Amino acid sequence: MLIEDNPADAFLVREAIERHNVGVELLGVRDGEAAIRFIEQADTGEMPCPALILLDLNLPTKTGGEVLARIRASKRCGKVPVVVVTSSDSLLDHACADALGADRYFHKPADYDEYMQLGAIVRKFLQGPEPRG
Amino acid sequence: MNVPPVAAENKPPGGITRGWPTAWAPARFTSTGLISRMRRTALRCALSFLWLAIPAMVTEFLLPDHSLLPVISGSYVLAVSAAAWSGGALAGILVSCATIPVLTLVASKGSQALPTHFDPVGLGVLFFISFLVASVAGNRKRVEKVLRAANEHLEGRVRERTAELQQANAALLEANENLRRANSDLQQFAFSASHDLQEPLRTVSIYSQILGRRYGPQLDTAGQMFLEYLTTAAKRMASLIQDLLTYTRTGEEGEPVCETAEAAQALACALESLSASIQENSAEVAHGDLPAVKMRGVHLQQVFQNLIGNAIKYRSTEPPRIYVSCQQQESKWVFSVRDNGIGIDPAYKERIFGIFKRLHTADQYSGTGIGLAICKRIVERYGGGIWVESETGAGATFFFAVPV
Repeated sequence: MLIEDNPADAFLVREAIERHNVGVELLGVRDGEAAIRFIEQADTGEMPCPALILLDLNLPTKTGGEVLARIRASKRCGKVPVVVVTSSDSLLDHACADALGADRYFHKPADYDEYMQLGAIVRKFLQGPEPRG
Repeated sequence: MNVPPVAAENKPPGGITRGWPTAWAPARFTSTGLISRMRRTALRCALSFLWLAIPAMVTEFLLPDHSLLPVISGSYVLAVSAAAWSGGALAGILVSCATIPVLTLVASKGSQALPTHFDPVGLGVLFFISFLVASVAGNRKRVEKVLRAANEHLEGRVRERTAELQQANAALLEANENLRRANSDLQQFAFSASHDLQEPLRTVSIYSQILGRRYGPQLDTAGQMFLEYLTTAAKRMASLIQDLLTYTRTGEEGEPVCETAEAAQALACALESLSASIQENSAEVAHGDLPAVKMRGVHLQQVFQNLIGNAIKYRSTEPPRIYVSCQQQESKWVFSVRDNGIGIDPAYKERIFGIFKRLHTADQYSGTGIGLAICKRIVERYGGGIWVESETGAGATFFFAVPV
């Protein structure tokens, strides 16, 4: 699941995942409240738990921090790995994400190739290391 | 600017306002003051007559014995002195005037003739001595009063001055607080502005890259040139924002810590960071004896790195030769970084320390023009200063001084 409000970034994340041949269905959510609603539905069994959550911090309605806290408090999805994907390079944001239980902190780069590395990270979480060749 | 009222704090305890304007002058010169003053004096004088009981008793019991006449006279002088001491000069004089009738009355009542010694001359001498004692004793009262008034006046002035100083101090503290707040707001603004600007810029930057890669071949020469301009401008803006962030962060770490940095070690770290550039330009960097200074190591390293980086960047056709040294001048360590580069026109020796101020185009020399501004900010945080001595084409020597 990708929780990201900026379509330009959502496109890049999708592209990074496709480039690394991670055969996965990507569900996009565009604001914090919708993400929390999804987790609540997952808790009641209406929705399946995602295998991995990519979370932007700067979101409309509810912040990424609030969403992360809700995910960790979830009965069914509390242990799902969360990769924080943000443009913030603030140490404070990084520390907050760590404290709330993020598994990885990915700083959105200004370079295309560096951005595509996110695909490798997703692959590692879902399938283990990328096969060589 | 609003100055908080401080007058209330300066009143003496108990709410009594003493001092020249309210207590001293009006008591003397207003009609109510004069009446109460006269009443007090009259009461004092009346009470002073009680002292005459002493010599009257002494005369009553000792008059027959002529040999004790000095004791009798002494008791009168004593009574006059006591009256003058307690009631003031006026009371003293009145009591000394009253000694003659009292003496006569007591002597006649006791049916004893006045001794021959009590002739008019003797009485005159006694009166004179009493008068003298009364004046001196009375003067003590007056002097005391003048002293008290002067003292109160002085205390009043001290209070006034203290109040004025406290007001000035409060105004200064407020101005200082306003300045600190404005500075902090400005830093906060610069930080969040540059931080929030990064996000859309990153999108511009990354999508111009994608555009170039995927659709570049389909664009004509002009289109490719426009895309190149777009990419270059986005990169430049990214580095400007990054530098602005670095600059604002340099100042936001609060008070300088009590940390000592070995300048030689900070220089070595700076050279390590610059090693690629040093090799590429075949630069030689040497240094003299360097002390330990009261600075954070990372800050000193940053200053060295920026100054040496500039010395290499603004090189002449000769390979860069850079010499770092330090001398103690009074209570400051004065560091110098001397190079053999292109030098700086002395007309610009102030301007180069301004933020984003550059003397060359981006084509000639890369960079945003923040390096020296950061150096200046760091050095000034430690209560020091930075300056340059140079001539165009004759190399430059940058100096920075920090307190010992």
